[in-house]
Amino acid sequence: MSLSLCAASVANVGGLACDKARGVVKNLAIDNGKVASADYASEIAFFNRLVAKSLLSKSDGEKLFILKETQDVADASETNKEGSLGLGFKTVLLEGKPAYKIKLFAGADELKRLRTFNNQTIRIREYDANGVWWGTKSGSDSIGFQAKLFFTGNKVATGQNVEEGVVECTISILSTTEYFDNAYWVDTSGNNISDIKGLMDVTLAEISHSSNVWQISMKIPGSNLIEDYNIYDDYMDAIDALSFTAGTGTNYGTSLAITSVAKNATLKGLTVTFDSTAYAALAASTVIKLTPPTPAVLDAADITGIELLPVLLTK
Amino acid sequence: MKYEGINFNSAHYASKSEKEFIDHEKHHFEGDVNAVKKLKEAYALIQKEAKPGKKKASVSE
Repeated sequence: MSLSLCAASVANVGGLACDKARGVVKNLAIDNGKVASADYASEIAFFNRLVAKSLLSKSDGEKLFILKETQDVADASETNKEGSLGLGFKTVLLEGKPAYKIKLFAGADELKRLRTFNNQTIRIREYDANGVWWGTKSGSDSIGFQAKLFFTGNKVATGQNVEEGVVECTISILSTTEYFDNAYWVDTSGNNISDIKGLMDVTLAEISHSSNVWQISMKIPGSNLIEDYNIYDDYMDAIDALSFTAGTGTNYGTSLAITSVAKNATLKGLTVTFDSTAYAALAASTVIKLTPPTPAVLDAADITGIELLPVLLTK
Repeated sequence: MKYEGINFNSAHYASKSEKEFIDHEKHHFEGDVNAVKKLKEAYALIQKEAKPGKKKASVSE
């Protein structure tokens, strides 16, 4: 009989057949929220929850931001720190933390948006080429790995390599405990990753107003110096069929009735009419928050890939 | 209720008069000679949507 305390500190080392291991990374998703245990009761429940999270407003703490498909990946992990003794013994003193450099395609506008995440401490979920999602757990919740991201790109192409439109993202994992010792997976290979959608901000702004009738523009701000991208021709017929709300006062909690919404073909925008009696009763300089339909409502109406941002209008 | 590309708030206008509706929404049809006719038609559709006809109670023998 050996004298050992190992029984309390180690695990058996057998392995399941067909055990999962991380495959080539295909997509990364920034998710600072969670998937509760009820939502990962099955593979499809987990996948559907990710889809729903991708359609939340960016102002929602549960929002999931999916990045485009990875085109290149390189391991940039810090090497383990090793130490040795004079008579030849060598061992690992400190484990290096994982890091990767991935490449994905994105234009100048998208790069600007991606760079808003630079050096932010966020959580990421990994989706690999085997259709498996990787993350960790907090209590019974599934969460992403804590990480920092840094995006670079939009440099002059040299014509020597594929460089034009290529954005490089450095992913630095903060915790080896989360990443290695508490990694958990869900196999969603039977589902279409494209159902998890990345959205673009659409800014609403006042064009003009006459009393209670306001003309509102809906544009995607971008790098085109001449003009922002107007979504009028793409979506206005569908958007003006949906419900907008408006409010004033503390936290904009006092409802202001909108009596009609219509597209304005001349101004290439939206005509929003507030109830004239309620509008007249508002003091001058009252701020009205106009809240558009949520991304999920838009998506259900086949208005995909955008989030309409609320706008503040001053009477 | 959408009429000629305009999404009217049916719930809001369910309890309003036709005159109130026309006065409030006439800006959508500025310069249209059939503006009043169209607004009356829209109002009728709103009322129809807001107050659908009651079904007669079925009689079982």
